[in-house]
Amino acid sequence: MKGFKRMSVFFALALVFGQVRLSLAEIQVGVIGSMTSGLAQLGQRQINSAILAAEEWNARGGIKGEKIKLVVEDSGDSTTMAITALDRVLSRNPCAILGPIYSFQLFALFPEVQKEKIVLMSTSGTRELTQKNNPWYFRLYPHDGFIKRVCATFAVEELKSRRPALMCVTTEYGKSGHEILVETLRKLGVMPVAQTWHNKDDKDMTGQLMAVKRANADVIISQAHPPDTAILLKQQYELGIKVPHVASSAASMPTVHELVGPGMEGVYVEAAAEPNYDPDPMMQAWTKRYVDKFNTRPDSFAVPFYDAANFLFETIRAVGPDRSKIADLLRKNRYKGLAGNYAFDQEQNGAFFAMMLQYHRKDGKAVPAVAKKYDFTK
Amino acid sequence: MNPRKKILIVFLLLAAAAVLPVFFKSSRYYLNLLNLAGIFIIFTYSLNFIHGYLGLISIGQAGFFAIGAYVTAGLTMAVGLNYFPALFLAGVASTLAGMVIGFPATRISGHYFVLITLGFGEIVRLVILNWKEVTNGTNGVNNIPPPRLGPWVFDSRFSYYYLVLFVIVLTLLVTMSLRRSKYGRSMLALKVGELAAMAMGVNPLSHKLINFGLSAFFAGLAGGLYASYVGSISPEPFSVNLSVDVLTMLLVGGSGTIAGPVIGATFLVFLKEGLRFMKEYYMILYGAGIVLVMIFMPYGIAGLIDRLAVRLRYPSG
Amino acid sequence: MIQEIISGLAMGCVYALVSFGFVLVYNAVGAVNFAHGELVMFGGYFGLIATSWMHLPLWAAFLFSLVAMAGLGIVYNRVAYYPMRQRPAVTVIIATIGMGILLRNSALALFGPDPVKLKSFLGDHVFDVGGVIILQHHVLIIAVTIALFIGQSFFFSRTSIGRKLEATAQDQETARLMGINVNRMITLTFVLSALLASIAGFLLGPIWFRDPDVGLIVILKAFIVIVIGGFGSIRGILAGGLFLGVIEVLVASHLTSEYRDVISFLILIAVLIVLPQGFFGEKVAQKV
Repeated sequence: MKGFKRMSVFFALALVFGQVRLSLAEIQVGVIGSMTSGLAQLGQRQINSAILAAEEWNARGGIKGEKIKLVVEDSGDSTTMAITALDRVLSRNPCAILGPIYSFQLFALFPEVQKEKIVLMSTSGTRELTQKNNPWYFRLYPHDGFIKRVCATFAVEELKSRRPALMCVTTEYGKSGHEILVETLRKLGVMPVAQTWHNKDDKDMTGQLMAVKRANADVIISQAHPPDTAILLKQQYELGIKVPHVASSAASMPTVHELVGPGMEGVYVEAAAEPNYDPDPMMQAWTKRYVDKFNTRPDSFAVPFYDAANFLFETIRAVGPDRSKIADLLRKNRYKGLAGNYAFDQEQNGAFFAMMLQYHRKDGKAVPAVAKKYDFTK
Repeated sequence: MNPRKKILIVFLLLAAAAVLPVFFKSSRYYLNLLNLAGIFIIFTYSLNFIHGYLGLISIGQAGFFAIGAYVTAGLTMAVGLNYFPALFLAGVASTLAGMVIGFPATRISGHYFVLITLGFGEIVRLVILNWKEVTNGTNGVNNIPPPRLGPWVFDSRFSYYYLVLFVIVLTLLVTMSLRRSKYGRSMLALKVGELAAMAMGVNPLSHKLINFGLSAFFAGLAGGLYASYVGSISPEPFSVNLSVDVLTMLLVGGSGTIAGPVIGATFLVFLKEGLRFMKEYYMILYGAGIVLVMIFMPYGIAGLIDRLAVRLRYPSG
Repeated sequence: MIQEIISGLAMGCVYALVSFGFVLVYNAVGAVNFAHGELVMFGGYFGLIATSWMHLPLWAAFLFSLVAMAGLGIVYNRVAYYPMRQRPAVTVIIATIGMGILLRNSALALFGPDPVKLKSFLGDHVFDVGGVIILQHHVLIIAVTIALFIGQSFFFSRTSIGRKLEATAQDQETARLMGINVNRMITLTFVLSALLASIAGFLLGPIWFRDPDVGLIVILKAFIVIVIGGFGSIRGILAGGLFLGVIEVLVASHLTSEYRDVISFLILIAVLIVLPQGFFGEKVAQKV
C-alpha cells in the first residue's frame, strides 16, 4: 500500500512538472492537421508544406537568427482529437497556429483560440468560417461562395449552360456549396434542372446519375470530396452521360485522376492552384522541391498552405513572435504567394483568385490546362 | 468487505476526485482529458444499464448521445432555456426515444437486438445530417453557451469538471440505489435466469423498458454535457464508431460493476492520447491493446481487480 | 430503369459476397466479426502488394492474396477467437473491434491514406446492350457470386468436411461428442471466411477504391443483407444482397438520394420486428 501511494505521488508530480518546458531561442509555431484517418489525404500534404517552408527559412538563418520550431499535432478525423491537438500545441506557447482544413474541426477550435488570442490560419473553403465574428481566424483560400460563383459563372458564361444539374455531397462542404451554386445561378437567371445528393462514403452513384440523365441536363456541376468525386466522374463516363462536368477542387487531386482514368477527358475543375501543371517556373521549382523531399505530389491545397506559412513567417519577421501584433499586421498587410495574391477583407478572407482548369488525357495521364483565370483581389 | 469500509473508500475516492483538478489547474490539456473522461464515464454508465444488468449489447448509444446534445443545444439557444432544465429535458427526450426503440427491441432476442440498435443509431445520425432546417445539418450548431447557474458560469475547464463530477455522482447514486432495491434484485434474477424469474412473478418487459429508459436518459445527459463543453456539435462524431467506443470502454472496464465504467472510460481516453507520440502507429497499438485486454482480462479491469482481491483474501483457495 | 436494376444487381452481388464470409463466422462461433470489412479490404491490399511491389501478373496476385488471407485467417482465429472461445460472445466481439482498428490503421501506415485502385481482370470495358451500359467487371462479379453460391451450397451439404463444419456451427458440444475436432473446424471456418473476404476484396478493388475507412460501411451493409436474408441461409443472403442493391439504386434515383440510407435502415428495423428470421431463415426461438 505504501509503495502504491509513493508511486501515485510520483506520477502526479511527473505529470505536473512535465508541463514545464524549457523553450530555447526558438519561435514556436503550431501546426494542426490530419495525420491519421481517411482525412490524412489532405492533411498530411498540408503539414508537409509547413515543414518545407520552415526548413527553408531555417536554412537561411531562421527569423532574425531564431529558428522556427513547428509543433505538429494530429487532429485525426474528430472534433475531440482536434481539441486535444490544440491543447498540446498551446502548451508550447506558440505565437500563431496553422490549422486544419476541415471546418467541423475549426469550429471546435474557435472558442479556445479566441480565449487564447492567437492567430489561427487555414486554407479552408467553407463560407461560414469567416461569418462567426472571430477576429483571430484568417482564411487563406478562395472561399466556397467565391469559388462556386466562379464555377456557376463559368458554366453559364463560358459553357453556355441553361439546364445545369447539381450533384452534391451531404457534408457541410457539399451543402454550403450547393446553396451558393443555387443562388448564383438564380442571379444569372438559370434554374438547375436536377439536384442530387450522396454521402461521402457512397460507392455507387448510378441512381443519382440516372436522375440527372433523365432531366436532360446540359452541364453537371458537382461539389464533393475526393473519393466520391472520383466515383461520380468514373460512373458518369461509364454510363455514357456525355455532358460537360464542372467539378469541385477534389477533382484536381492526382489520386482522383488515377481512379477515374479515361473519364477525366474534358472535365473542368475549379482550383486555387495547380502545382503539378502550372507552367510558371517558380511553381515548377517549388513542386520539384516538394516531391524530392516528401516523395509525394502536392495538391492544390498544399500551395496556399505553403503561402500561409510564408506569409506568417514574414509577419513574424516584421513584428516579432507577438500574438496580437501578428494579427494586426496580417489584417493590414498584403503578400504575394506562389498561388496568388493575399489580402484580407473585413471578414478576414484572404484570397480572391481562382482558376478553371480543363483536363485532357495525354499518354494515359490527365493533364490540366488553364481554361480561365479569375482574380478579384482588390 | 464490511459496508462501512466500502462507504469510506467511496468517500475517499470522491474526495480525491474533487481535489484532483487542483493539481492540473495549469494544464489545460489534462483538464480537458479529465472532462472528456468524465463525460464518457456517464456515457459508459448508460450502457451499463443495458449490458451490465440486462446482458444486451447495444451499438446505438451514440443515437441517444446525439439526441441529448442537439436537444440541449436547441433548448438553450433557440428557446433561451437555462442549461440545467434544458439538460434534464434533453435526457427526457432521449428517454422517449429509448422507449420507442425499446418497445419492439425488447421482444427480440440477443443478436437481432444488436442490429436494431445499430439501425437506430445510424438513423438518428442520418436524420440529424439531413434535416437541415432543424439541426443546421452538416454545418452543425456552434457557439453553444456554457451552463449558467445564477451567478456562476461554467465556462472554464476547471469549473466544468465539477459539473461533470456532480452528474457522475448522480449517476452513481441512481445506479447503486437501483441495485439495492427490490427492483435491482429482480433485474439480476432476470439476467441470470429469465424463465425462473418469470416463474417468480417478475415481469421482464417492464424491467427491460425501465433499463432502456435509464440508459437513454443518462446517455442523453452525457450528450448534453458534451454539447456545451465542446461548444459546437455536428453529426460526424455521432456515428457507430462512437457507440463502439463506449461499448469497448464498458467491456474493458468491466461490465455490470460500479467501478467498471469509471475505469474503462478513463483508461481508454487517456490511452488514446497517451499513445499520440507514436504518430501514425498509435492507433495500431490501441487496437492491439483492446484485443490483449479482452484476451487477458475478459471481465474487464474491474473484474480483474475483483479477482485479485478475492485471491488476496483467500490466498490458499 | 433497366440500367439501374443492372447496376443494383451488381452492387447487390457485392453485398452478398461480403456477407457470405461474414455470416460463416457468425454461424460458427456466434459472434459478430466487426473486422470483416477490414478483411475484405486486406484482400484487395494483398493484391495491390503483389501487383505493385512484387510486380506479379494479376492471376498470380490473386493466388498470393488467397494464400496470404488464409494465413491471416489462421492468425486471426488464434488471436481474436481462440483465447476467448469459452467466454461470453461479447468478449470476442470487442476483440474483433480491436482487430478492426489494428488492421485499418496498419493499412493506413503501410499504404498511406490515399485511396488506391486495383486493376480488374477485365479492364474497364463495357458492354453496350441496346443503350444499357454493363461494365464487364460487373458481369464478372455476378458470375463469381453465382459460382460461389453454388459452390457453397454444394460444399456444405455434399462434402464431408462441409457437413462437419455445419455440425460445428450448429452445436459445438454435440459435434465434439461425435468426434469432430472442433478447434480445427473453427480454424477452417475463419480461413474460409478470410478467403471469401479475399475474393470480395479483389472483385471490389476496381470499383470500390481501396481506402482504409471502407471497413465499417461494408459491415453495415452486410448486417442489413443478413437480416433480410436470414442468418442461416446462403440462398437468403444472395437474395438479401440483390434486394438491397436494387432498392438502394432505385430509391436514390427516384425518391431521394439524401435519405437513401435512412430508408435502408428502416427496412432493417422493419424486417427485424416483423420477420426476425429474415425471409429465408429458420424460425428463431423467441424469448417469451
